[in-house]
Amino acid sequence: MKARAELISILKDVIKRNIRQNKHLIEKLCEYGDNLSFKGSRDIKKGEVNMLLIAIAESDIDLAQDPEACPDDLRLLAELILFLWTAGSSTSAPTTASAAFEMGLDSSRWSRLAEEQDTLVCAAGSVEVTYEQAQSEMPLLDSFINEILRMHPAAPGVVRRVTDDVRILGSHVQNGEIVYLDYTAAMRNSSVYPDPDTLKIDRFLRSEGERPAPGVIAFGPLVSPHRCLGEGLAKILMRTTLAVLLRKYTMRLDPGQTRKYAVVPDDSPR
Amino acid sequence: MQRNITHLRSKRFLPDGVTDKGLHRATRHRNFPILGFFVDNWMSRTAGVLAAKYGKAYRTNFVTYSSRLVVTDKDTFREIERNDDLFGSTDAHEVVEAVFGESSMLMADGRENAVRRSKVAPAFSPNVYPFFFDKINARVIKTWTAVEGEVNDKGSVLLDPIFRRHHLSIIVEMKTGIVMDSDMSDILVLRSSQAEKPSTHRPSVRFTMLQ
Repeated sequence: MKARAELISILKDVIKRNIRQNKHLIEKLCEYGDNLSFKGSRDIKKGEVNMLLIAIAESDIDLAQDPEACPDDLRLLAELILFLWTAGSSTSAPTTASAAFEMGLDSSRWSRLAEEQDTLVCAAGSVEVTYEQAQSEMPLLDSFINEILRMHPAAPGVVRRVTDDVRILGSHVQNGEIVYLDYTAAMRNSSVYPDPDTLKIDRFLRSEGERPAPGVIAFGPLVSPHRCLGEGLAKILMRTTLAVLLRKYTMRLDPGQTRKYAVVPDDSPR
Repeated sequence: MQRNITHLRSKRFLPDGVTDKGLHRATRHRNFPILGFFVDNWMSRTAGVLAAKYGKAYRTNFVTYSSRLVVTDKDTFREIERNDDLFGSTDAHEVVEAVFGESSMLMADGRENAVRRSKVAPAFSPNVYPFFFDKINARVIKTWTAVEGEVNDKGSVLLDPIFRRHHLSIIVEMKTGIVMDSDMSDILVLRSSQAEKPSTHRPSVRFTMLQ
């Protein structure tokens, strides 16, 4: 807890420094509001803006005043950043690690994914990953990442506390009890994802005549007010990281590696 | 038994207007008090392959947790998430509250959640990703170049901690503009406590690169 307090205090200083140094930019961002976009906001340069500046522009902090004058807003923003740092990195990092591991485990997966990247490199004439490629031009890598998210979700489920007596699928739950939404088990449901314990890198690929598997729930149900906000960003980050790996290197899994980690928790049905 | 069912029926089940499948579908037979009970029971036991063993919802009693209902059905998740006045996030995450404070995004429901999300959402809009992409790309290349150097020196490298630092540094830079060159991963409270006990979801990946 002491470390947390220190971190919050550091983050408050970071926010204050950002407000001091980028006041004009934040004012510009305030004007754009929800309409801010890379295409439509030409007077804002690439690399000049970070997410904190956008969050400051959207927050209740009054730029005309000293940020210290609204300590609650400052604390809330600092807590939010701490949360987003952890929520963002502690989920995408193990997913990337799982993806790299599964790629190394089976050379046919590696070669199919590398082939997709080679095609992109040849078409573009450059080994650099572009934003457009990372956004939408790597369907197989995207399907593979979805499959990793399905089999090894970094957040295996969420809990909710019931605020009134309720019946869920035939079970009576009392006010105040906890309900656990088991994402891992749901994503291994064979009636939704056939052959659920097999990793199929093209499971989520759209092909003619065949319906692709429904999306993964690793970020929360599709139309949920609690669905992960960072989904798009996390996917771009993971795709870029793996695409560079596939384009520039060849790897071999260390002989001592086992796949012991890849177990569904014992309390979940398979 | 009949009284018991009627009693349950009179309790609030879901807010009005919920007509979707999922939870609603599972209880529509409750209109027939006694028979409905068996039909419901039968349906929840036979639907889907999971139900063959545990059902779409089953009770569990962990050693360290109190008894809880585990739900494993996708459609039900949606209903639960939508009705967050009945299924609250507040008070549900004790650990999250301790670490991130009660104002954390994970702790809000209903209107409060909507307001908090709407304030952060513009920073996560796909429209602004291109602003950050060059930084992400540069960091990715830097990470892999560092891995390459380490592999050349030592022959192989453990990727798991590298990914942790890599993702954290990108997120820190995107979110605050701070360029993270030293290893800051230990200062995050959750991370340092997690590092002591390996999680079953966290692979430890050691790779050897072939040039």
